[in-house]
Amino acid sequence: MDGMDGPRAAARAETGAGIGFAGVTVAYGGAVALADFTLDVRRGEILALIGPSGSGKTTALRALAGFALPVAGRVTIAGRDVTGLAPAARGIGMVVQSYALFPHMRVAENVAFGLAARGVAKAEQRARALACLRLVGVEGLAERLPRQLSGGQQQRVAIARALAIRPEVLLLDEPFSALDAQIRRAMVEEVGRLHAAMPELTILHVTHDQTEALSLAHRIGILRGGRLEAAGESRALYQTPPTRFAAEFLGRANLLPVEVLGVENGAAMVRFGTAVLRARGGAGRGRRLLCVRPHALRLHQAENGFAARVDGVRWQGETHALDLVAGDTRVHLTSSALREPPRPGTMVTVGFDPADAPLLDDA
Amino acid sequence: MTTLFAGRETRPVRFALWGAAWLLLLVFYAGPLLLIVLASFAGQWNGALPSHLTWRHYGQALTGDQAGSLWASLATGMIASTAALALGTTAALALRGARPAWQRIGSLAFYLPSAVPTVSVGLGLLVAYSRRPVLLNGTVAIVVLAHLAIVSAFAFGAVQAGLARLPPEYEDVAAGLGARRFYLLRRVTLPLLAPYLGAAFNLAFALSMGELAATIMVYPPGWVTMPISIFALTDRGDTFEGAALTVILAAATLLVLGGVARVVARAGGRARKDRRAR
Repeated sequence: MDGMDGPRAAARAETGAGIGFAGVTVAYGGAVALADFTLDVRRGEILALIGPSGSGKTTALRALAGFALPVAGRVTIAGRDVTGLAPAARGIGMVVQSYALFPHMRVAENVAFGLAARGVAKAEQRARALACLRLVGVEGLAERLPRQLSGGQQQRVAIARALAIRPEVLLLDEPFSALDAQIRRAMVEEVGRLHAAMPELTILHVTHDQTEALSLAHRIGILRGGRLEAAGESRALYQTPPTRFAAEFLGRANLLPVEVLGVENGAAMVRFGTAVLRARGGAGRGRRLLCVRPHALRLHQAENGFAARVDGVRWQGETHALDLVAGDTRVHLTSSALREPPRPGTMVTVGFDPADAPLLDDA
Repeated sequence: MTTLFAGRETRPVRFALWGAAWLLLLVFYAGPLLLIVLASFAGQWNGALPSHLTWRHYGQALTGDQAGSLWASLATGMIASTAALALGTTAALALRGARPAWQRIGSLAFYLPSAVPTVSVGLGLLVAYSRRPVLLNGTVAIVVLAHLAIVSAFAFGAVQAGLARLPPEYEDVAAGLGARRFYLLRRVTLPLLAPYLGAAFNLAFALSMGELAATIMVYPPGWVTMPISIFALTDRGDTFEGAALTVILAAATLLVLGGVARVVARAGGRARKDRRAR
């Protein structure tokens, strides 16, 4: 499948825009579900929206798809204002958690549904449906009914159906959460592969699974209470979260209360308990939070380290997870499986590379 | 401790509950039905059981004065149920997207006839349509109208329940793929609703076939439905012939319901099975 119609791709190349939310506010009754939401997704980019339940991520997706009408703001697709357009006129493919394959239609009919709705000739419908099924590796299932498919197969068919209309934008609404872990990983890889084959497709991926977001998305937006808390390149957002909430929501984080003493050789000098440590950036003085991911801590490293008591040790197959206590602060450490893990109650030193430890405001 | 309602009954209690349920079913439902079937074959019934068993009552019911009743009931039931299904489905679909206040008003309008005695519905129609400009008194139309008024509420309720249980993702995805309103309705919503539409029709048809109180107020000569014939026969002492007509009424109703169930199984059964499998 060529993925995009030539003229449409050319038009988008001119604008360079994928999806745009500009000050979008959505309210249900009197309750504001999404407030002054502004975010741009570049053409060909995969952006993951994550956040806890009720944070507004699905509302943002529904506003883009046309199922929730904003009370303020503007939604654009490829530079075109679609705020008042009906869902059918937006050119969006959508994959949802429950797959929503039409149970009374065979797989090929399901995939061809959008084409039939748009009045594409029957012969072309069939050819394009089979091409999409081939793309996701389930061309042999064309004549089956949805109930005759496994969860993973249904999800592939749902993706094929969304891609058959050659959408400008693909919306993924928690599409993998009903799958078991192994199939979920395979499907995330599959979507990554599909996007590599269709690099101009803009994907908005709503998920509560941070691992899924980190492994698939170029950029991540974190929502909290209907507002955009943080947004940025996935790796940068993970390594340098701008807020405490972002640090805690995107992966696990140790947030150590420290006092900034000053800057020395480009690194911030901070006091944690009785230990003086080096951290990344952070001009000024005062109380801050030192963010260190559990896998960034090194057991038995005295350099740039502190003492902690082992509270618990859990073997997790490929890794060991250690629960430590340093002063009044609980610290989590993960490392590759240890040959001789420390015993609970013993004292250990743990250290870290200053480059892996940014400073955050305690808010 | 024995608990009756928490699903942890002991075996003797469970047997006692099942026994009581079967006894109630036998005494109030199966027993009278069985006696009607027996009575429909009775030549005489002087003792505990009928004697001189005969098919004569069925012959009279199908060829005598009551022969037209079966047709009148089936035609009335079919027309009223089909109209109720169309009306109820349209109203339920229209009200689905309406504001809550309009939903309440619309639902009230449909449910109102089912909340008053059906004889009052018949009387109301008789009074309303016995003078110009709309003169329906003495026509078949007023019988159909009476049945429609009574069964619409049930058809509307069944479709409304079906719509409430329809996962919104199906329609959302279809609309996103480019399906306009009527295309979506024809290709997605109605097929997914098929089991509920079938149930709505069956409920309306069964109620219509058994309707007596409103019909007796409005029926014209020449359009005597089966419940009226049964009532007339038993009223004048022809109990066995009335019983035969009752058995024919039940059989005809079950036959139609079975046929509808088969159609629904083909049209929408796949949808239902799929949702169950989830």
